[in-house]
Amino acid sequence: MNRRSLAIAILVVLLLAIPLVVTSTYHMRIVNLALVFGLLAVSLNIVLGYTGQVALGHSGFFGIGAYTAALITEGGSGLLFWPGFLAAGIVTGIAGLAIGIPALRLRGHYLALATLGFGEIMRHVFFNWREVTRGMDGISGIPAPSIGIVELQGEGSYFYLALAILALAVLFCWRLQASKYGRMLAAIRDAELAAGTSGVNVARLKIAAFFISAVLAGFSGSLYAHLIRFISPDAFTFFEVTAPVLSMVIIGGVGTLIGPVLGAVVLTFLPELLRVSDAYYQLIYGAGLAAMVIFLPMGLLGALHGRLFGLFRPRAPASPASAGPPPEESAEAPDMVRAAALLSPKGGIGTGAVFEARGLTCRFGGLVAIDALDLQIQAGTVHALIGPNGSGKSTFINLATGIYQPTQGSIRFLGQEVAGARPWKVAAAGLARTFQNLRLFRSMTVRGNVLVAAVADRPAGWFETLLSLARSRAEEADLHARTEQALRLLGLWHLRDQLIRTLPHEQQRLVEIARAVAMRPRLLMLDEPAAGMNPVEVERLVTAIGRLRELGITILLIEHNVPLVMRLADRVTVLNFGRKIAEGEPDAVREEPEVVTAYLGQRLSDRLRQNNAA
Amino acid sequence: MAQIIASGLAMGSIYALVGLSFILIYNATHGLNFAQGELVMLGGFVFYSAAGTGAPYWAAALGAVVAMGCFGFIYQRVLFYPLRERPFLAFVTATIGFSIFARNLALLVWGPNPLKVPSFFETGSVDVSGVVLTPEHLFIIAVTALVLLLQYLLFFRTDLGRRMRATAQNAEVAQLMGIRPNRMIAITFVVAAGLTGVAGVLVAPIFLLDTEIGLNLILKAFIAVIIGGFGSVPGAVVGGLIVGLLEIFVAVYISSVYKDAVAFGVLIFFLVVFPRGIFGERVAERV
Amino acid sequence: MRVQNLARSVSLAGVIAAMGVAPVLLSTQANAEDEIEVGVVLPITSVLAPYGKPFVDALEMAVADANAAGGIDGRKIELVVEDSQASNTVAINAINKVMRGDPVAVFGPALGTQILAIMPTTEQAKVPLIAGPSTRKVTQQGADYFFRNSTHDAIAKENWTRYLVEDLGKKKIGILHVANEWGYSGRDNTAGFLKELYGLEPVSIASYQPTDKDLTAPILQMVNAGADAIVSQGHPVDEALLVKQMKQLGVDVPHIASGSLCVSVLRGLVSAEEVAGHYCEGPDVIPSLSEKPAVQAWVKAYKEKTGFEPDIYATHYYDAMNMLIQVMRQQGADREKIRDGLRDASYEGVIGTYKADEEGNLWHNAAIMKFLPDGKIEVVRRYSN
Repeated sequence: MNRRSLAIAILVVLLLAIPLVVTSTYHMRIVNLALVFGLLAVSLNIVLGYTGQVALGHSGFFGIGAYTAALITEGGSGLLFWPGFLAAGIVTGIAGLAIGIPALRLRGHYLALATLGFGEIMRHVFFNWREVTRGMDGISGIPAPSIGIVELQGEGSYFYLALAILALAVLFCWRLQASKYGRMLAAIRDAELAAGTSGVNVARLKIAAFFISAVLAGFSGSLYAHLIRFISPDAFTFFEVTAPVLSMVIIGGVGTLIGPVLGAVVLTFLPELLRVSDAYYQLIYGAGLAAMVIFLPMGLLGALHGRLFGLFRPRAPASPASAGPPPEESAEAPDMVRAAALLSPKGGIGTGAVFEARGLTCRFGGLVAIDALDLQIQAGTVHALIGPNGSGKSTFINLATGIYQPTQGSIRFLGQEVAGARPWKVAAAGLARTFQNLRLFRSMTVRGNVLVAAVADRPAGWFETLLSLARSRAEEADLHARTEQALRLLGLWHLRDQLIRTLPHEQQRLVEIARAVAMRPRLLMLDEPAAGMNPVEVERLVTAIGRLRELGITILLIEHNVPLVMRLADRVTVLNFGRKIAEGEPDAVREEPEVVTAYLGQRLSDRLRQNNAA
Repeated sequence: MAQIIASGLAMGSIYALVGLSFILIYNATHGLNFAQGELVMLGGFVFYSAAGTGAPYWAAALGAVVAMGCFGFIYQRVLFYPLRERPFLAFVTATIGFSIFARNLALLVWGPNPLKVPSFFETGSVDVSGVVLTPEHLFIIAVTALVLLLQYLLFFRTDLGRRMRATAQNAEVAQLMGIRPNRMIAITFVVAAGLTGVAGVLVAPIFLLDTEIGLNLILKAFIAVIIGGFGSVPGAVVGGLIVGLLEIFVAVYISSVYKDAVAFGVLIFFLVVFPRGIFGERVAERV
Repeated sequence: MRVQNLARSVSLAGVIAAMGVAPVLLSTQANAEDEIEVGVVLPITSVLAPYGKPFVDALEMAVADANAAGGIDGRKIELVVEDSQASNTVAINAINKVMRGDPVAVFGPALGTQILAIMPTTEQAKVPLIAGPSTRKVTQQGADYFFRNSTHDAIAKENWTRYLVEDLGKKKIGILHVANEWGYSGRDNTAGFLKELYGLEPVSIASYQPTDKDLTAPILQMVNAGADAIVSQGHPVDEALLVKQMKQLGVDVPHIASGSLCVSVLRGLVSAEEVAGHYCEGPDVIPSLSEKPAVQAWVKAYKEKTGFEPDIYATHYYDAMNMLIQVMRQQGADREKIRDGLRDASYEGVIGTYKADEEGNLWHNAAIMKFLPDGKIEVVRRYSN
């Protein structure tokens, strides 16, 4: 800790000394430009890196911020910088909301092109709305910022202002990344659907990310206006702003804390270093940009972490995956009392039918996936849903958890209508699920995956979380405790620091269950949890499901492994072509002639598979 | 009116060619090639130089298209191949780098002054039963139609085309069927770059060549592929024609200053309200 | 763990930043003591390169001649050229970079917005800035150190308005312009003089984006409004396209284009056949039309160096550089002396006399030329003050 503090202190001193060392106004201007674009890169990184939303409209936000600040401060005193700065953030933030809300419907390439369209539209507005923006004439007479009576006239004093604002933004991002919101954003980035069904309010967080990013972009636009002190529309085009800033983020390191700033510094200085040749420097710059992308897959930060930095800081041990075999599981039988205290369903176990679908119908085009289905799940039971492939089992879970909208019918969960509700609302009501084809948060550890879904008794708000106040720290401790119990319950505690993608599929399935359990659900829907497991692993799964029952979690089990179903289920519903063809006690159902007919081929193949495996 | 439509369709044909080549690369690789416009620009300049050698006009045009096709191979080898396993933004950024490179290369090779390429036609206009039309516009529309027909034949009537389509649909399955996806991707780049070469040859006489003509074209092509439906080949063509017509009708009847903004407004409208476009697939994520 | 990450990241960033900054800091300014620096900020790359490169050539020719003739009292002149690209931000960086070397004067871009962007810097440093933007506003900012080496747009637009109404007798005038500061300047001046001199309104005003290549819509708007004459203010590429597309659309009312069309003709962007019947205007006639031996010698020398005939704007840069050289020879290479010299001197350039007015305009002429079917160019109206 001491050496680290020392390193930071030295760095701060070095940074603060820059204006004293760099005497040329021209070079200080470049340094300051790097800070302004560093802030913009940080802003872009929040949507791009943290949230995984490909936004290419930051030239628009940057321009809105710059124009807002310029129009407010034009010809006025430097003290107007501050209201202009705030207004730039607010106006741009509103623009961010205006883009972020419709953008919820879009992802990937579509979002990229929609936001790019926004940036282009803003360019045309700056250019053609001459009454306000003065068109190509631009706005001059933007004052240098003042603090109190001190006017920050020179490049050197401006540097400290910009550096302070950038440092605050980086600190903010650091807090954001380390907080539960950072985890949630990363979860959205890694697996949006699973984030939603894990209780992450995807819509709100995406909008929040857009908003925060836009506010920071507006701030950087204001800083830009007060640095150059003249703005005109040509400074706010895709190729002038968005493309270089995107490059800064990509080359610096997407999703890292400081990578974007690093990228901004390097790319702002690169043309200067290349100015050896007037005619060729742009040529080399373009080629260099492509080359850096190709040859630095982890960004500059990634490329340097391993080398230069290893010189004076011992690296944290490599990922535990390579640090020898993990300790055996036997040492960690769960303490069921403690587990019950932390993980029993929020709101109690309940009685009677916790879940009831009535006349549920879902059509995709002409295909009827679920046809007028009635289904009741009794509290405290293990209810199995079986049927041949394509009979609508997974569709049913998707309907119940808000991923699909039913065409008709109602779904009542604990007396509350949840048909068509957003996934996180369903999750918050106490309905959790796993996915047949795994949807884990790939960039995180086992523990991180479960933490995303964990629910504390007293959640902290944005303000408390970002400032790390007592309540937020208490919440974190609470979340960690519950996560630990969920992992122990599934026998995964020894794997807690492994990156999720290094685990075999069967263990990933258990992590999905642990993640669902951490939500303290009243009803848990398991979609083929035993798929691909060998008999030993199946036994482990049976034990785990037994523990979940013990906690009082009601379970809906979708499974192809019929013997497993017969062992675990209290009640069985059989689907075929989206219709319920049988329901009842396991033994009774297996004798139903319709079930036998529907299942014959399937069961034979199951038997064959089991024989082969044995 | 006929003039307006012909003019809109001619510009639309250019957008369609650029959009189509963009979408071919997207379908094969899921990469967005932001330098597609620069390929058009290079195609135009190569055509200018080829025509300057005294070669027959058609030979110069053919030469430019073939040269761009060959360049497409190098392009995918250098820019796409090393990035094929990386997130799509890496490829986007690399193509942005290339576009800066290409514009400045053209500036160095062909100089800062815009260049004029002689027209394919002697006469200024043709009179079709009282309606005055520009032969160049008709020529662009005709050549585009011909190229699209050839494209269709390649994709749907040849074995190579079937393999290319299979790769675009599912590279893994295609590989299991004995198709070599990397080779198909390389061929797709060659075809797409050839198409942009055609676009370059077509625009050179009517645009006057400068190094920035690609920037506007790629932005219009984006709108075209969204309106048509992202990933849809006929959609890119129809979308291009719609953008061309939309532009000129807005310019004539509403505002020539805001016509580009209107076009981007349509883009956002489509994305938010009707993201599938005209021919596109469902956007919603499958579970 | 997290603190550690932060610390690592921050220190890493510091190291990289230092690596980036260090070489720049170490770069020394390579100007020998006894050379006189003249700064040049012009677009050398980007789409605006045609508005920069030809002027750099002209400036270099003037400097080479002066240096060959012994420089200024034995001191050589050195041009420090920086690229402003098509961006005001880059232009501001470029002027900052030029100012590092303590130039005695600076030549700037012939683009009103870039001049407005860099003028605060040159005014603050009290260094004379010489450039050829046409927008009149540039010289109405109260700048003390700015000199325009060309005619401002109001003179040129008054000249063409008078020609249209008085010489050609047209009353229904359509204005077509590119939607940027240059186009709006043409529009506002023309509409203003129509109103002020004759009480007329333009019958139609249409604009287009600088990137537009298809001008069918604005041309048809002129036709539909019944314009009997069209004036257009655009850039060389779009003025050339305009001429071509007017012909294709069969529009043959008199058309006077801005000086950009003269440039397009000189650059071969439009053929003699296509441009026949159209007019272009400018601060003076195209230099090659002049019979004066000095102009012919200049045209020949420029063509040898660049492959193109010089346009009037490049000639203005050439003359202004020579004027600066003369002032320095007479008054000394000092910013204040140069400013005073430029303000007071009368200089005989290859194409005529340069003399500053109150606003700092050095040139005050205008001319309209008509392109004839046989490829000749006829001067139809001249204005000189």
